[in-house]
Amino acid sequence: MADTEVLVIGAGASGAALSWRLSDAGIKVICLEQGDWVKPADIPIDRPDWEIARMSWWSPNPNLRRLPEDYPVNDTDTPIKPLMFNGVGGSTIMWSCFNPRFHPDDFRVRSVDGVAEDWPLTYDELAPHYDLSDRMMGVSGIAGDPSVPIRTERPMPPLPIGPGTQTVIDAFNRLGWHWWPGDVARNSTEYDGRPACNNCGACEMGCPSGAKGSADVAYWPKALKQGVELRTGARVFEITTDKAGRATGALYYDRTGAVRRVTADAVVMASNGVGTPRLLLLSKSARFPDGLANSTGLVGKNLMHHPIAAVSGVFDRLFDHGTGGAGASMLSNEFYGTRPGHDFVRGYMLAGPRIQAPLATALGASGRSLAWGEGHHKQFEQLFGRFGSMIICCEDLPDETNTVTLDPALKDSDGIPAPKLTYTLDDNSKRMIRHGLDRSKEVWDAAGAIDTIERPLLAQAGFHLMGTARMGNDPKTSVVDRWGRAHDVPNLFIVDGSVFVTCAAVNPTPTIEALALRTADHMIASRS
Amino acid sequence: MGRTDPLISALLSSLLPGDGDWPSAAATGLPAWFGRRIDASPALAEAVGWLRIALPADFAIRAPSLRQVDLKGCEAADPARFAIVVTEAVSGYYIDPAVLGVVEAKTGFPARPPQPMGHRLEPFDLSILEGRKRPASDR
Repeated sequence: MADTEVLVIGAGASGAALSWRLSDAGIKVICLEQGDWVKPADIPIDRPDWEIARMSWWSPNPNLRRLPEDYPVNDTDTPIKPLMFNGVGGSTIMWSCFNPRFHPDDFRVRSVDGVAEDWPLTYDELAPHYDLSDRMMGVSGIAGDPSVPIRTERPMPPLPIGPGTQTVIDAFNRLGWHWWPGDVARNSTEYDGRPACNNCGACEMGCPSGAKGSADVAYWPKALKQGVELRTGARVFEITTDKAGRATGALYYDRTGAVRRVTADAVVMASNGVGTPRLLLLSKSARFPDGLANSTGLVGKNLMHHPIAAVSGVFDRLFDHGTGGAGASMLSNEFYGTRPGHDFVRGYMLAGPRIQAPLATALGASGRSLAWGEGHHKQFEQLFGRFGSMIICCEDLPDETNTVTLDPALKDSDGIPAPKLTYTLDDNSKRMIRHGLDRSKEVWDAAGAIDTIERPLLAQAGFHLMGTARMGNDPKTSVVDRWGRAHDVPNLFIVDGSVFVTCAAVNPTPTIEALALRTADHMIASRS
Repeated sequence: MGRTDPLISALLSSLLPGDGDWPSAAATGLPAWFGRRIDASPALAEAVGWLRIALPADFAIRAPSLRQVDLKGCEAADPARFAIVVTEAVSGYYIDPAVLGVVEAKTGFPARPPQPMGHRLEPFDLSILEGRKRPASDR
């Protein structure tokens, strides 16, 4: 008899959502997480050097953070550096909590635009799971956006619009372009036992009050109450299989470095778009010589990010201090999806404006490096509080040459091979970025900015890791089926961003959670 | 190291000189902080060691204008290594209470970390959506 019915690898958004849902149906779940709980006191957001922490030992980039539970990532062959967090709650600990959904056409880009592939499911199928995710995480926002399908009311009213955002909104109004308040997983009121946000403005460092909807506070307390066993400090290095080719559990290193085994009736990968292909590729055997679930050779291929560009608008007056949340307070779908006359397919979302604190400003977050020596202070005064950055979030298209592979030399602290990312921006993305830069400049001109600064590609923006074990109906061209079940291994499921067929032009977390909840419901239905 | 090291004080004051309300780096806690960073960061220690060799022996007592020329020469010779020093110096400067006090006085940005106080969360002004919402009959 196995140790558990379901073994989940990873306690981030997808692993938490699925564990909660399964346990709510009485299914026994063990979850292995290589990191630990993040306690409020761990978050260096109340220290004078908080900005330095954010750029170094508390950075979302594991190669900068270098905590013992992190694994290194070889990122020399990608212009977009991978960001993630290893701990209970996963990368939602450091997410900006911006919570947009895919649009219906995002699930059928082959049918609509003749590129990439369609998803094997529709928006309507996922919509109830999106709603459930919203209720669990706690989302502030408002229904009525004319650019997206009719939606349920959000659990909480929208968060306020700051002075900088109001300036941008006025500009969008002048241009006649679409905008709408962003859906944000941050409490505008007390919600589900968690307090209202105190608007500190540094969501990406983690939230000591629990006002931000991260998986550690939104799902895990409930999941644990329902009996899920969560083992932290458990670094999985192999998914085990039997002679019949079924998953049997996992091997992991515990905190002491001892090898432990968990057996399970089913295994669920929830380790993000880099960690999951890494583990599958590590799990080689005589039956699976190229790695688990990899008969197609597609595990680790089709890595997608959202290429992010930005244009800063500089004003000759105070624009905004940024004394509010980090998540985008408004978005525009004006250039979302394929549009006539564009020299690229698909499209991008505009969001923002992002505001920067003093040190980030001094170190060039506007896109403009400040001089040292004479003139430094004058340049600082001309920028700090006087600029905002419009974010251009581009839809990436899958490309088999963009990959996660195992690095032949780099290893983590337990000696497990580290992942290597290889990624090139394609011409479609480059043209899309150029368009977004030009349109953003129009926004700033309409807003009355005296200067603009382009940032054609943000390097430290690789939070969205998608596509490396994609979903599909055809076992020859996909890794998992429409329920996240591996074609090659009938009791192995994948629920993180790896399964994305395409990536839309929005932040992926609500879609990842909705997919995980949907897979959980399928597993529950299959069991009964 | 730190406040007692003339070269470090001169270096930091050259990178971040006083200007009006802005204090010179040497007049803040930066030299001591920078000294601790040299002890903690091999990359910074290496870069500062390189500067000690590359800069004139009398750098600490040279006129400010000459120091600027000296440092620009170093920056041109090895921009990446020089940038390590600048980044660390700027980082320490903008977490110094005296400097953040000037930021607050000039801009209103509070000289304190984001938590625990945060900032007032105003209610959302629904009037900004007038005319933009999907008609209720369609929702």
